[in-house]
Amino acid sequence: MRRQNQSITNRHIIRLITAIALVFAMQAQTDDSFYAGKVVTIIVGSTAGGGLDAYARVIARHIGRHIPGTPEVRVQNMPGAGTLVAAHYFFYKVPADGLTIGSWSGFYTIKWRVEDKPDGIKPAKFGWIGAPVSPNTVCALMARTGIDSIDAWRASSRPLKFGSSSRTNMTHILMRFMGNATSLPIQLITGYKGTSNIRLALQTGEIDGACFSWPSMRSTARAMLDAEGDDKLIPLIRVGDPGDPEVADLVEVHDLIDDPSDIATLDSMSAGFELHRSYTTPPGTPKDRLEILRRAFDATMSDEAFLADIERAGLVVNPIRGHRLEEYVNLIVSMPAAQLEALRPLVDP
Amino acid sequence: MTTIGALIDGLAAILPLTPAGSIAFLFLFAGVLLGFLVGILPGISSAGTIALLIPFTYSMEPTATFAFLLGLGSVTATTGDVTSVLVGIPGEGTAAATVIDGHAMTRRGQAGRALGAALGSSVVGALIGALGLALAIPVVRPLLLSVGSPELFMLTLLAITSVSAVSGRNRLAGLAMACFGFWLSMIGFDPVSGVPRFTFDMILGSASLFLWDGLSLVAVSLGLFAIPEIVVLFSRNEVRDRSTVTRMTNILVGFSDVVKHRWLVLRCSLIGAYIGLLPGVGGGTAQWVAYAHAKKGVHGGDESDEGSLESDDDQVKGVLGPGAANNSKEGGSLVPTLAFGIPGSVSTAILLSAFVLHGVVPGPAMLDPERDLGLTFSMLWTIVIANLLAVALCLVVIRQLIFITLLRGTVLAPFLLLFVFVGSFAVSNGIGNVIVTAIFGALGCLMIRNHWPRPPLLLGLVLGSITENSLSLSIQAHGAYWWMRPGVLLIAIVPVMVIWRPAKIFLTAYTRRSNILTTKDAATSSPLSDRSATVPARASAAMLVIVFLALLTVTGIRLLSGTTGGNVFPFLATLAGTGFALGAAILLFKGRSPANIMQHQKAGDETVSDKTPSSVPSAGSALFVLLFATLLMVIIETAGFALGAFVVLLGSLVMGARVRIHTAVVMALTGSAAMVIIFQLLLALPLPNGLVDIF
Repeated sequence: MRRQNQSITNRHIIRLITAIALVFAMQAQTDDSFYAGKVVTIIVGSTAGGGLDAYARVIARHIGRHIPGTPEVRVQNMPGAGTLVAAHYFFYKVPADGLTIGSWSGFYTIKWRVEDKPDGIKPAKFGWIGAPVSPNTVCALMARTGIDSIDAWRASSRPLKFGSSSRTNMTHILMRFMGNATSLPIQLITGYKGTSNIRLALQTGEIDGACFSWPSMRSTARAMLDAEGDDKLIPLIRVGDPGDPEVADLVEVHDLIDDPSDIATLDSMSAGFELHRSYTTPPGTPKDRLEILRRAFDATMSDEAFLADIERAGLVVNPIRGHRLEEYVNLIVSMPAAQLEALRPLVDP
Repeated sequence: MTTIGALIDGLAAILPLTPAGSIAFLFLFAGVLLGFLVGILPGISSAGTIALLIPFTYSMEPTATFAFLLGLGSVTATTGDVTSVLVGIPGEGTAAATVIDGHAMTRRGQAGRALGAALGSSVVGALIGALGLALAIPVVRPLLLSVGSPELFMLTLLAITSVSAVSGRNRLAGLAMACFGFWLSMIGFDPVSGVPRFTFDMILGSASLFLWDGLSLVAVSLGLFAIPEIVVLFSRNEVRDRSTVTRMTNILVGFSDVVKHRWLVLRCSLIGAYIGLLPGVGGGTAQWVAYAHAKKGVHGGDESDEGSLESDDDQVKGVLGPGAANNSKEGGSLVPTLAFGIPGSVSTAILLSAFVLHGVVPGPAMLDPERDLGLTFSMLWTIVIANLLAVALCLVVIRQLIFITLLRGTVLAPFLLLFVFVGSFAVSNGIGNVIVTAIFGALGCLMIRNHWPRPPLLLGLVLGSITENSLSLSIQAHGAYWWMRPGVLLIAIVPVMVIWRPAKIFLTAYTRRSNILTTKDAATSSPLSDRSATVPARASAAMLVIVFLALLTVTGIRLLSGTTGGNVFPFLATLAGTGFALGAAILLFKGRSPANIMQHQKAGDETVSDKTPSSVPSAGSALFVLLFATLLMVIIETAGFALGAFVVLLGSLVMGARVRIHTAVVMALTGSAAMVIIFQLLLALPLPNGLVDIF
């Protein structure tokens, strides 16, 4: 009797083990059920309240529906050093299980490539999911300066003060480049904490102008764009095509540059611009999970409820797909030495 | 519609008069309840909680959403004051200033009065912050735009020097501590150059990233303020007389203090509102500046020796000031957020993202009676009503809360230590900040023993990066003569005066050795004829100088070798700190230091310290707490939080407090279960699971 009981127990245990092994084997084969009941975390490299964070929160609200198994999606802010803290954390620390998505400035790809430290971040190792929008910077001046055209700016007897937050920041590097490559007199004032303080400095008169990504400028500086008289902010230059009639007629930055080598430098930077708002997976994430996330991201970008939320939040969507981002990364990684040397003085703080 | 109409509409929108108003009021109440909890729990910040809750508000109406989020955000400072007063643990970073005098009053059996004063001034502060600014809307723009980087730099110096001036009688030590705080704030990623500074990557490993985001203000303030209180508690085993302490009339006395010192409360509220208005300066600062203002002219006050020399009336001022200011700053920081989209604080920055998600666009429309002024006013009303509700809630539970202070110190202390552990763990969901808290806890005890004031250090840490930034921006944007602006010169008067006085004492000490003290100081120091400082005091002063010289060497080498990253400000801060520390040490060695005088008084008069429980942590207790904390960390890291907390509580209750075993089991079980329920289940905080994770 006792022996019989024991054998039943043993049999139960064997069955249980077989069942568990089967479940694991199934999971390893198809990832469809992997996300069911799990939590996906989006790590945002800025404080809550910024543009990067706003996109992440809207995406987090909708992307879960497009991932098989409909996991819960949360946003976690990890601010610091213009998203670099999050990027480092993401490269070195996060487990590559497909449950964590990173949102930090992909423009740093250029910095990492130029620095090329042996133990540094290798951008090609990330998985690139997609980007909701390309940043398309617009540079604008206060009407107070009396300058309302490129010609007037070029003729200005004093350099115009432009505010920026950090020497590693994308717009800072762009402005630095413009100061070198165009004949426009620019003086950079660096150290403002975020774009809201740059906007305040524009209004106090401490600085004359600023370059922001257009999606951010059009919503956060709306009152200044619409103002009258001296307080008006006048957009003058665009980088790329933001696809918005409001700034379609502006001078594109390429038209201000004559030297072919400068144009080549700008083009290699442009690849970095496209990566600015990208979403990534940590190095070593299984390919099939990256693909699941890419498909979910693409589906979210055309999801009607998502687009309604985007509109309500005053944001715009102009998505770049993951495969395309990967091409930009390859472009940067395989950049010729001459280009790297041209970028080095811009990127080195 | 007129402005008055908008004011009334704004109020009606959040009161249960209409169906929509009822919903908004319900959410407001829910927000207040949550804010009540968040305010009490250290490490859980209102900003972080608001960020977590934003997704839940997508489908709500804007008025209800803002009633909910603002209701939460605007009461945390009020309930944060409650824990500061009762157990000396600042529940929020913005409530640390209330610990100093508020908890000192509790220790003297005046908890009710201190709470009454804190709650009363909170309501008045919230009212003035919100409505004062509503009325000041026309002048908000010029007010905000008059502060450029040079003025901001000078304002930060003004804040730090005035706090150094009042928070201890040892002004030079205060200034040295402020400089130390400045240096601490430089730890982390330099936002301008994009490279890490002083992050100890050599020790922690370059991939640790732990200090890249700088020192956590919460972890540091828990260490500096809460740990020393716990150390004192461990050596306090007497049972208090409960008859007087819990009487409700004491709370009324506290309320009447608000009326009695109405002009002080008004001034501190205005200070808070103005500081709230300045972008990036925010909550951590307002409380200290108000504290400095409230204690201005109060003689005999020494932060490091709370309670021994001051009258109740002077101490209550130290509660009223920060109590009012940390609430009025909410209204202050909200107005520029709404009017310009420029958030005044971290939590308003997060609210701004909620505004945007709800299609509310900050700008002039928010101030236009024909458009969104009603919504703006409903937000300002929310702050006022939320604070009234919070105070009402506090009054309901206040008697039970005050009973906490009647517990024997040895019984209460392990619970509080566990509470602080969870609080600093929650900062970054890791053990790193627990260690930071422990280090600053040891430093806090050392500072108290040596009469080095703690507030300037904390404020230096809060303001360091903005001071560095605004100085750098001033020079870049305005050139070498940035300080010639009239606003800068006007603000500069106060810092110059603060530094002038010790400089004068110092100079006279050298030119005319006799007759250096003012009549008042001479009266206090008359028993002191031998001029000798105690050996530990001398050793500590020498140690302070050595620490500063070491820091100066490090920053100097960085500056001269041209290491990447901002090097000028860290060098200036440590240079000034070395000067102040040297000055303080020389005065001590010459027997001219106030700290020295007080130590002699204490040594000669033991009966005084018998009457009021000592607030100076003994080295023995500090060592015991350090051991206990280490044990706590090890056990929790291996056995997981729930089991570890239970074991440690049980052990310390039975062996330390000599509680009977079955009572101890019940207490430890209740305590650890309550923390698991609140932090892990309610707030979804990932507490350590210990080695269980591995299996």
